[in-house]
Amino acid sequence: MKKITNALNYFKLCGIFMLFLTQQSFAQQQVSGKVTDSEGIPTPGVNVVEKGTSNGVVTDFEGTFNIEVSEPDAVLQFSFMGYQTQEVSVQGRNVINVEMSTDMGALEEVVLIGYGAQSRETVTGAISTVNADDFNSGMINDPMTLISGKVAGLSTSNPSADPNATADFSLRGPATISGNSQPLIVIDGVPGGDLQTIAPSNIASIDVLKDASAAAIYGSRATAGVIIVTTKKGVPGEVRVNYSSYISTDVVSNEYDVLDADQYVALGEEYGFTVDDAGANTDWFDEVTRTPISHVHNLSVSGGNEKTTYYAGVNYQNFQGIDLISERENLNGTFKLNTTAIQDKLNFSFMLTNSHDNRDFANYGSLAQSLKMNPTYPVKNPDGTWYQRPDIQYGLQWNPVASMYTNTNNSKESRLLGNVKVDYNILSGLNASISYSLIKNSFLSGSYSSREDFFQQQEGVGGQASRSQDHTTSNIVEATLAYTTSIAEDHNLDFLAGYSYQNTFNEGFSAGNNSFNTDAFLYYNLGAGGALNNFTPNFNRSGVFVGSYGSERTLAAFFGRIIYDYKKKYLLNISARREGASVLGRDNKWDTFSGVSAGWIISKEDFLHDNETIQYLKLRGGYGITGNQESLSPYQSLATMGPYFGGSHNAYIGNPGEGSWVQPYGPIINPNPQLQWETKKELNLGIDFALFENGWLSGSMDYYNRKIENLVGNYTAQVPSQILPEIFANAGSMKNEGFELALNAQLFDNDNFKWSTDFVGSYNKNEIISVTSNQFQGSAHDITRVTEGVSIQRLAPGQPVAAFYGRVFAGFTEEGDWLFENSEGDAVVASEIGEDDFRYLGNSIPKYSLGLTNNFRVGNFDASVLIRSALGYNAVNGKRMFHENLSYYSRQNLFESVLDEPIQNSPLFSSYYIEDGGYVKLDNLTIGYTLPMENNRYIKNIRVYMTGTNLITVTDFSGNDPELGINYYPSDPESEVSNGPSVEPYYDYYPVTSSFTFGINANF
Amino acid sequence: MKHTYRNRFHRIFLLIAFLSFWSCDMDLEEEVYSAETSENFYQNEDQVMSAYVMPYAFMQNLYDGGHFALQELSTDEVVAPTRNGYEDQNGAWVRLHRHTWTSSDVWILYEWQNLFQAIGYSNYFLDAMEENDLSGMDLPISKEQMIAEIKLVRALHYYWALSTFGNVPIVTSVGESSPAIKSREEVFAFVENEIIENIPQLGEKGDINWYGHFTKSAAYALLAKLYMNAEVFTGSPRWQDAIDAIDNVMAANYSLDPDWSTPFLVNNENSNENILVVPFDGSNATGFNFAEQNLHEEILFAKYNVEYYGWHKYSSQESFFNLFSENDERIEQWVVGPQTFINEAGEEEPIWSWYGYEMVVTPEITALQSDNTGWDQGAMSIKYEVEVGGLNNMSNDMVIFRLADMMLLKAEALMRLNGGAATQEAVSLVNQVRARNFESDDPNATYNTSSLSLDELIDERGRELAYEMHRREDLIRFGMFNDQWWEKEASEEYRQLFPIPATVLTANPALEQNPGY
Repeated sequence: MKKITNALNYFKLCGIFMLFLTQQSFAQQQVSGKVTDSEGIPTPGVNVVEKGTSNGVVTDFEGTFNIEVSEPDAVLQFSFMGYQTQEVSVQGRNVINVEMSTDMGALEEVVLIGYGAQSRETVTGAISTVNADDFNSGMINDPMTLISGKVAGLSTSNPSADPNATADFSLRGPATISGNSQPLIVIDGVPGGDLQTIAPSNIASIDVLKDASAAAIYGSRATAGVIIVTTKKGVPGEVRVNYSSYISTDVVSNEYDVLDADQYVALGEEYGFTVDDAGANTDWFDEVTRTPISHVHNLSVSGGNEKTTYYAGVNYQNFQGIDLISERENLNGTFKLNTTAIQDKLNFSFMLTNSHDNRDFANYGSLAQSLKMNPTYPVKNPDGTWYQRPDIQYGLQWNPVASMYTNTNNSKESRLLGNVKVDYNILSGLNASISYSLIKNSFLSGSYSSREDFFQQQEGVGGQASRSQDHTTSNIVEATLAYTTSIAEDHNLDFLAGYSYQNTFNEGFSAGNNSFNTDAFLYYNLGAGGALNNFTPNFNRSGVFVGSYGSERTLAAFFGRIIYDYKKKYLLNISARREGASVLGRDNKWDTFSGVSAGWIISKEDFLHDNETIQYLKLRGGYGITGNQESLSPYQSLATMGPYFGGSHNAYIGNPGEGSWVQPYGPIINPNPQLQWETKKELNLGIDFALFENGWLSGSMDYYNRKIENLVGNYTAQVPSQILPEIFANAGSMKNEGFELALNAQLFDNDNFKWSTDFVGSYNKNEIISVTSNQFQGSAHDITRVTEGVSIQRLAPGQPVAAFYGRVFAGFTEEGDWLFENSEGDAVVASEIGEDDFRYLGNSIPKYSLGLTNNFRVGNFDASVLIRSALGYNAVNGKRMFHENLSYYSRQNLFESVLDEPIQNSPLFSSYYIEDGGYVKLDNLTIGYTLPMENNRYIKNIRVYMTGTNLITVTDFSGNDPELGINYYPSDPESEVSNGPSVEPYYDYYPVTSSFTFGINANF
Repeated sequence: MKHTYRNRFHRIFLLIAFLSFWSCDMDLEEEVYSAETSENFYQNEDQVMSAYVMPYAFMQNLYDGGHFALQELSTDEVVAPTRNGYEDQNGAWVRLHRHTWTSSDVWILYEWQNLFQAIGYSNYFLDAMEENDLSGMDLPISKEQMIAEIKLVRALHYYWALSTFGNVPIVTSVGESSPAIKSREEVFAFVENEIIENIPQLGEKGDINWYGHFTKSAAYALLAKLYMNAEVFTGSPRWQDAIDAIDNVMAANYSLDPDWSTPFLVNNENSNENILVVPFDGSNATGFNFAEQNLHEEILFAKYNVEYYGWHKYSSQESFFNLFSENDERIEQWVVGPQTFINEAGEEEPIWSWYGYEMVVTPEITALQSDNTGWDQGAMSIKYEVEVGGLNNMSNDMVIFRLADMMLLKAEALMRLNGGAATQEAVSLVNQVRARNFESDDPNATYNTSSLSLDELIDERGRELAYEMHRREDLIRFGMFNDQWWEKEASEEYRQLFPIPATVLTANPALEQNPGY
């Protein structure tokens, strides 16, 4: 089913009624019939027009129509928004039944462009659309994975099998160096939504606004692109009931080969290490994993008449992780209502969706620990208690199975999205609309480490409990005025003016306590912990805390757009958005973002009009300026004071032994009153084409060049006279340049066999040009730390975001010590390598992203195959650095690969560990069968299918999986370890799996 | 009819639209919830006191920040070897030991940031005091005294900046853009002037708020330190001025504690010797993790029954450890030899190392960097008493200035005024500090005018002031900082100053790098 915006729907309805008024009756022949959709359901509201005349009618509630045509050879046009327009020659017949098809040609497709829609034919920006029919199937936890590999330029990194993980995605490369590079999500017209609010099965289509000229209507939030998600809505006609369900399981697809007990003991003896052999032979990885079962059920009811449509759905999802404890249980309810009132001048639409999650979080540390455990240790002692070894250095050999059972970490999450919108048709072509939306996300988390937990016992804390609450509320008011007109028939104009206001308030509360004398409470009785009121000197109160916070941000914007075309041949689109944000400096709060694009449909020119090969050809180009809201945090421009270090760095007042501790207050940031927008300027040039008979080969190509200026980030402050080391400021610029290609080929299209192929491919080159301004000097930031103090990636001028950086490997000495290449090109030992000898070791974010989808239909069988690939990047497996190093023998287990290439020197990061991250995946294979139900009164159709995901991966990468995230997320510079793109961490682990799904989809 | 109908809708629609615009706050000013804007602060006594103690509280970062690292690891005293491949930190410790650091070394950056952050907090408070009238408030300390104290905190950090980086900008207010570098003479004069001008407004030991704050004596101690190093800082010695400043300290109510360890006990607030300390507390004032940094976890677990893992990062260098004779009680500040503990049965039991043998700590460290030795090597300091069952954040207050240091400095100044030879007064001062560590009949307990040389005095300073962050300054003043020791070659003279960190230099083009870097 095709998506339709409320506004357009309304235009359409108006058009229908206008046709009623202009209906004429001098026909010579009566034609009647029934219009149904592809499922045989009567379709009311379909326009039936005698071609070349203004003579037309609309189908009634039963889908029937009755028209008098002027001549027996007349041609009837059947059109309805969201369906393919059909022309049927009357040929003297009196009864004509028509089945409307949603499978429209690409050009008739409706494309959402933000605050409106446009036909694919006349779009001038770079916009991709994926409809529900083309979504990936299988176990879908994150809605973004519905379109993995389907949109050129949209890179996705699928999440691991962790049910609480989400996909990482980016459009046309990194958009910022300090914030979030993920595109703005617009759900049913509401900007800033959270994809986890909606159930994947309720999504009807996803539009992706890629270039700045297209996205500029969303101004300050559009730099990383815009993803417009449209959910399913009711269609006039009889009640439709849909039930769909699937059940899935996971199998580990790539497992690390660690040493078994015999190998471990033999290796120790070979190298003369003290071997700690406890006599067991434990496969620790096997002990911390299970065979998960996930199941999903979805029930929806929809329908309506010409005036009112409704859609209601309930979705239940239960995903289990492959580890022993993680689980996500989600219940989602959605209700949508559209109705017209008061002489059809007013159109009301209501939408409410509410999603509840119960999450048990996986313990990534325990999974990583399973690779580190000495294989000769048993899981349990003979008496049934956990086998633990606190005597091993630094407490490194803690039992991961025990840890999973002795630690609880979960959250209850509620996400609400509500929207009410009123459209008012003031005059023909002139519409006003006002909408109010509420986004409310609430999280309640709890964690408990039991008295039996290894670390609780080591630290003698005796049970650690904490709870936290976080609430975010967004109120959004938007108003638009739209006017559509044509001048002298050939000049078509669409005007839009609008206003948008969004206020977001975030607040939260958290508390913790320890020293519980029972594990019975978990986190349900925080006050019972003994530590809260225990002020005995040297009593460990480290888990006792209480905190709360609140912050607010506001956006206000005025926007406008003009879409013009001459004879649907020469196209122009101009948009602008004047936007202000509270988070910016007092004098820089407002800025203007704008875009202009133009197109020329060459195929409509006379010289190509009758060309057999070129059915459709459009040249388009655009230039736009957008901003990035996500890279800004509140209160960075204000001089604020707060308590220094929350009570742990108090100052003494009074005589020795008699005084008191006073909490100090000082500046909490270096304020930057000059803080301003980060802006992106982007040029986009594109071609859309359809070739050969019926345009069976169609596609588009885009070239873009985007420059992001005034990069926001934490820069080195001038100390003195600034106080803190860093200041949140604008400095420097970044560039992304790339090329995208999307091809669709309808290779076979007949009743018995259909085969279509879609290919999407993109190339992106990213470079940080500078991190310096007159005001602030940035320097290269070391960003990704695989272990304490060892960073392996950088943000540096002249390099792509998160480039690898380190020593250059040059071999080993005879004693097995590392040799590295110094700046003179000589191989020297590690102690002679200085920072001057460090070099850049390649990009970590893929340059190429490819997706190839093949869809087949043979009779009642259908199949689809998705092959997905990312190429042109380096990756590092942080686990190798330690698990392939003999000097780690006494503290952890090693990989089998250590037997081939034993490194005896202590682990040092260098180009030795740089690997090619490129991969090609057989990502999704689905085979379905539709049961014929023509004679069943109750069931319209049933389709059953099986899907396998992540089935085959071809890669040279040694890690778990080469899909390791494609964005750099800033982390606390003080944290000991942090993750970066294409780096598999040493400390964290979640196994990669193949999933197998059996599903059913029934319509009643 | 239809016409009016439509008009009515126009009006309603416009009204709703208007209301929605009107209800939105268009100036987009931010409202804060979890912080206070500085404009609205300093409204009551509690707020003023909170702001006043900020620079003091920040001094709790001195130990764990770059200060200890730069002042001790660049000397012959403390070392952080790479033990069994651990804790290499990209060679940072090795470079400090070998005097091969560069302007990119992070510990040098931490020291710069720490010193100027403290100066910044001081300036921030002093700026606020100029803008806010506190009359009418019932403050436990006068506004004038608070200003004088915070100016002394600032002077102390400028003194350290002068000593460590040499040529630094003098900034007395927050917000000054691209401040230029000042010569060492100018910085010296600034610090000297700030101390002298503000001494009259300061309190003294015994006043209600003296402990951990700048008193007149603490200010004189700082002045004495400044004058003692005047020749290094400016080329012109000020020995007599140093003696005069120390005399002011000695005239105040301080006396040597009977035992060397008293100033470093957990309850060292009872010491009569300490002049200025940074008060620490296990939960209220954290950051003094002396035992965690120095001791081996196996020893901490067994002997001290603590629940944190020790790092055993620092050790004394063997040659420095050898300065201590067996009959000097100060040798008790080292953990060396076979390690044992008293088990639950009350019996002495050996401590076992991770590698499965009885732990014997040797003063000798095989190598500065080793992949397979080092765990049990190098004397570990327990100069600050380690509390049994204590926390990693220790409650011992960290000593900045104490009387013993002042007395040794005065002796040194007297000797320098006497051509390097000891005077009777100098001998007497040194002997007071030294004799308490020996049996009364021990012939080593005292010096005489012929046995006390400057060479002997620097060793005595080492024995008395180990791990108190004076060693770098002392070695420079005694002309020994660039000598060869252990795994360090003789170094160039410009290494007496650290380079201005590279990131600081790029952030402020008005700064100039120190010569040689």
